Amino acid sequence: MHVRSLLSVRARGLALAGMMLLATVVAPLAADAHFMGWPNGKHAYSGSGLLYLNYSRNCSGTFYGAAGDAAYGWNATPTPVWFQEGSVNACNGAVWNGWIDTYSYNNASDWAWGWAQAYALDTICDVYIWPFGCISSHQQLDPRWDETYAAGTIMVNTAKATGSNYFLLVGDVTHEMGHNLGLAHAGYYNGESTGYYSIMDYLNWSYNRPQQHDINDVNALY
Amino acid sequence: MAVQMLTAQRSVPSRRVMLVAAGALALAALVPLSQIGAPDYSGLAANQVVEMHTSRLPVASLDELTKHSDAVVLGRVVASGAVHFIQAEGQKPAALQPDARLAGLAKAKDAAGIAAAPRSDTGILTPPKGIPVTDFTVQISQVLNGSLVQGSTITVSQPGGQITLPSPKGSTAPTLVRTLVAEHDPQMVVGQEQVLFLQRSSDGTFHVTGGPDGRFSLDARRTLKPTDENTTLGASLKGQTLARLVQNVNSIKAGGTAQ
Repeated sequence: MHVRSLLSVRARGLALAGMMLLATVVAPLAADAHFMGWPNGKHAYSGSGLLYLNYSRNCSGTFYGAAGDAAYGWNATPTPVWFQEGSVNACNGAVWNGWIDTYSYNNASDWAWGWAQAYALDTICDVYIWPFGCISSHQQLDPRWDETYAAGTIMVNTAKATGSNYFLLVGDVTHEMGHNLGLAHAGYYNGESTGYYSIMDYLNWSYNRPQQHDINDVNALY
Repeated sequence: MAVQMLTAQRSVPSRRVMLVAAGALALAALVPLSQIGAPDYSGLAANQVVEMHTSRLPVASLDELTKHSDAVVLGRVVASGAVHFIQAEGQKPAALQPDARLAGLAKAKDAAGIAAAPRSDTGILTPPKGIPVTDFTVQISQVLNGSLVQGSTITVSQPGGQITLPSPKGSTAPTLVRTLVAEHDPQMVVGQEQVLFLQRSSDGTFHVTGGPDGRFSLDARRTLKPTDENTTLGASLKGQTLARLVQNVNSIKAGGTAQ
């Protein structure tokens, strides 16, 4: 009886430890550890149906195929995410309200493979007179991660595209799209467990598709 | 009698002057009154530091870092200069080629029939285009490897920098300023002395090899503190003495290996 009781305690302890490990690896952690700007840093979403995100890749140069694969990869996940492809009419890096645009640049001096930025839409009163209120205002796309995302840009460095590393290019854009969904870097350095299990781990290039961890995070956010 | 004399000497303002003065006072009172309920932009207008999120293939080893560097120096940042932008390639946009695989997926996710929305930025002000880069002036305290000269200054470019968002003419709202900083690569600070692995750019300026991977602070004991301690390279060099680093770099440059 005494032995059985001890075993039971040990078994329960092991089970608890296993569950905690599983929760750390697979399930979303508490809020701010996983996300770019909890709780508002994400796209507006009704809570049901798909989250349609307009994106373009026709200015991504040698990343064109990779960007399409990256969007496909996110669309294939069991999440509300649906990247809907459109086009942009000038490859000038402009930010467009309601769009996530992928632009290429070529800079061998830059250490980065890709950059992601989200933009909130601020409405700013230019002239205010009481008691009439705001009599003139404008809207502005403001680079920030902590308010509802109205737009995004992904810049990809074609100096890094050597032609033989397509797998990495897909991973690069998939990772940046993850940022534009609101996901932060994931890994032990961000309070999570060790090991490679996320496309959002910036030190891990062994994946080029969203992983279960990322799917859980997206479903927690939207 | 005395009271009467004083009264007689005081100049009495005319009714017209009194009215003008009262009007002016009323107008002056209206100025602050007109701002009752005005939006408070103190939070929005504050210069916010915004991380630009990046992906990079971290430098794997000191061997790789050294071989890709033209010089290794201990340098002090003496000035922060102009911000310029890495621009998009500007090529002709590719024709849209819909991904045929999406049809089945769209059906499965019930996404069929949804087309991308038309574009319009009418009436919306947008931030400057491109990736901001700041030029820093660095004075070389010590040449650890390479042909640079101790005491001279060089320009080192680093992604990130302060941008000003546009605002319409006549706006009384505060101008918004944002400092964009590359994730894992905090901006250099004037006065900071660091070990820098440098690559020479085609325009004669320098940039740090591997970004955060090629930049190290020194602690009080003159041992290395990597900018990004999470990488394999950062973890391996953390705590190494400057003397040991120099020895290893010189060994690698001479065709040997790090000890």
